[in-house]
Amino acid sequence: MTSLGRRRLLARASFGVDPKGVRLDADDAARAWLESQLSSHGSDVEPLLQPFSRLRFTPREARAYIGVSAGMMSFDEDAKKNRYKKADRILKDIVGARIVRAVHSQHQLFEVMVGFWSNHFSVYGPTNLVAELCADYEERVIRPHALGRFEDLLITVAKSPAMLVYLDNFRSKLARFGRDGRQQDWTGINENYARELLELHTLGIDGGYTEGDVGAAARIFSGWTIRGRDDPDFEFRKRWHDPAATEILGQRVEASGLEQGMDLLRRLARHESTARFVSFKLAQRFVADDPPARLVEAASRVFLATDGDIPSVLREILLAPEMSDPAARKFKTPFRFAISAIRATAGATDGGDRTLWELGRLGGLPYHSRTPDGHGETQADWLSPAGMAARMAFAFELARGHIKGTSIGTEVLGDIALTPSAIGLRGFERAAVAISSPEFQWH
Amino acid sequence: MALTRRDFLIGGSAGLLATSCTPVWIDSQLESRERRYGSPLLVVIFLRGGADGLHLVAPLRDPHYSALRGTLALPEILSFTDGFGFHPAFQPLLPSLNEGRVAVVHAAGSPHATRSHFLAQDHMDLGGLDLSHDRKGWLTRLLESADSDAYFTRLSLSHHPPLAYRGSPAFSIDNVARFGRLAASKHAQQVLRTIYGFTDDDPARVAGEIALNASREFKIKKAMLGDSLETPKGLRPRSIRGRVDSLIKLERAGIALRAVFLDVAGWDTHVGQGGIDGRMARSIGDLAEGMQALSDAFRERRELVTVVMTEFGRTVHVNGSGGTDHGHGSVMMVMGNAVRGGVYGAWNGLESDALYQRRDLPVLTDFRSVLSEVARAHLGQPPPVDLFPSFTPQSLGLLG
Repeated sequence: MTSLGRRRLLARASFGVDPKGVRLDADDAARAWLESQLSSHGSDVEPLLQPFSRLRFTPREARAYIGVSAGMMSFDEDAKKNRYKKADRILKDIVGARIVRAVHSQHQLFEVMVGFWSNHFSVYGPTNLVAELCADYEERVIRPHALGRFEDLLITVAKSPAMLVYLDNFRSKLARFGRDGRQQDWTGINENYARELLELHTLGIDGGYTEGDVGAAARIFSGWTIRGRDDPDFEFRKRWHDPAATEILGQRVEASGLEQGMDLLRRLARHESTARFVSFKLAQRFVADDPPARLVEAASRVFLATDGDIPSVLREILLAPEMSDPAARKFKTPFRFAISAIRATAGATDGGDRTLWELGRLGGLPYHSRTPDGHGETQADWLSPAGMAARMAFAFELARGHIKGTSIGTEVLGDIALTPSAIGLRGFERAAVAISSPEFQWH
Repeated sequence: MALTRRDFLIGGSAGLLATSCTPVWIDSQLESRERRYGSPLLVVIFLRGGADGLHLVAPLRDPHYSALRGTLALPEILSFTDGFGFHPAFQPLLPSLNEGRVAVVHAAGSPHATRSHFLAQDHMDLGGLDLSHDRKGWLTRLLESADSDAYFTRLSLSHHPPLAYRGSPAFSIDNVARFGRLAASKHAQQVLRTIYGFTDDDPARVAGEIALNASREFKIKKAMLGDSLETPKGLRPRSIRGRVDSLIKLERAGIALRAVFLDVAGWDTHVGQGGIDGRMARSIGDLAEGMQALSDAFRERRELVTVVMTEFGRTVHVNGSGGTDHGHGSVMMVMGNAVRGGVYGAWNGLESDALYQRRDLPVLTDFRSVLSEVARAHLGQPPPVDLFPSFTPQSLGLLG
């Protein structure tokens, strides 16, 4: 690796370089750091998470907290408002905790991967009934598997109340017909999840599946639902299951009931197209917007050989020679920009509402992609004049201490602050100019 | 991303901009540039959540109307034509209605069968295409041929730019009073201008330079207006009327605008939709006030074409909660000087067999046909053929 490659490894496998943190001066040091990161799971900043008391709500606890039946179908506007407020509070706890962990956790690559997977398997929090399920999604679905095996993650997501509700699979059931031949209300297959499973979660749009496969997958997953509104844990409801799927992806469907879906998920997790699609997205996240074909191939071979062992695939990508290619620049997403600004000055954040609001203005918050394909990863998704104006405004608000709960430290920020034009600027403005600079937008 | 270097204002010299007084030539350039934007201003108002078209514009003479709509049936309406009437909450729009400046296309919408808000909205924003990373929004395609060397030609008055602008450097401003505000000293701003004035092709630098210049233009214009961009008391900033107020002020300030997108939530009326009064009536009142304010403000100033759209309509039947559920066809409205008032598009009545899946208003006029006429009004000529790929618009004759 070149020194550029090592610098990028440190910057991209984290939420930005921390001046008090490690320096990777040699390849051995880089490898050793990566290994320690790949084996650092879980939460190491528990005391900082105390304010987020709703972070670990189970679906049932969340629904009890909100009091679903009270506000849901009510004409009472106050009850409804109250319900939305509480759902919003849960979501704020989750995103606030994410911000705190991104800034302060030593398990940087782990937190990066939590962000990657929660975006790959995107659910939109502010949707009715989804917000309160996101705590379970973050803590019990994404985090336990973020550096584990892809198959475990895929299966856990498929059974998660958040995904079942978000992509409507919870209401997908065998169509029933009345005497007059009309399909009864609220019966019938819903293809939403099955389609996104193939297109966005596993094979990719060019992964070689057909409309027929989407229809078959939708039947296979019919009956994968939640127990009830007040107790929204996964349940397979046999009488809702449409057994009509006979073939999918060129193979006969052998199993029956719940096992049909389990078989399909296991097949998809080991599919060549899945290996390539996930490797492509990881290479795009860590190396280049338009990742080199060789790297994607190499990573997908590792994916297949290790049955989707995520750390093995990451090792292949992060230590690749392409990381050292000077042309392989990455434009920071708004979230990475904001977090890296705080980290670059050895600053601190409590992830409170004001911080959330400021980061929300920049865009790209976790659980806030309105579409199931998640937030974009590339320069084309984020680089715009309005976006740059917002980043500059953020930099000065941050540096002036206007963002309650978030402060910057006093560390000197790289080369920009030392350019001749910056001479005479006061300390906080030097930091703001550095964070606003074109150079700081890349990593 | 094809960001070209804008030489406007900066004149190649970063130092010039650091001076506090504005040279006269800047204003003269602004003037000449505005003259080039003489084409009608396009305003897109998107009602998020799926607005109930039958509540906006009611087919009062349909024999099934009262029975199907139950508590939602309107006992009185603002008179209109062809057996249709506007919800009484449209009262503020009456001047424009009477002048025949508002066209209604009933049973309009997207042929996409989805009842998912997001899928349906994305599909419309992308002009009838499904979401994938290389798709451009319909406004991007519409304005592609247009001059694009001014900063706010493509504007959205919202937090996030809509997918309709996907693939173009559109500005989105969620708070007009706050935009361009930079809590930086003069010296720090000068340093920023210096580092953003270097000539290299770093796209972040180019975008940042545009941002700084745009903010500056914005501030100059704002200063000429006086500091009155705050939403006046009595108007909610997030309402349609509140954002129309911002839009009017931006235009008065001389900001060169070509297309403005504004969207407003609150049309997803599953519960307690209300009749003459109530929840949806309040939303309609806001829409009507916003539309009339636009009409009044631009009457003498500039041609204007406004389109009101929503992702889908709602069930024809009232549901068990005094509301309506996600449906299919709805209403689109087009307002402008060149518009001929009236009700357009096919209409098959509310008989059960005429409904989509026997429950929803069908889509008898594709939203792209309506937008094609809107595009023609905006461009003053037929829109590019690839505005809506693999779609042949039907001629509706909304324009005089």
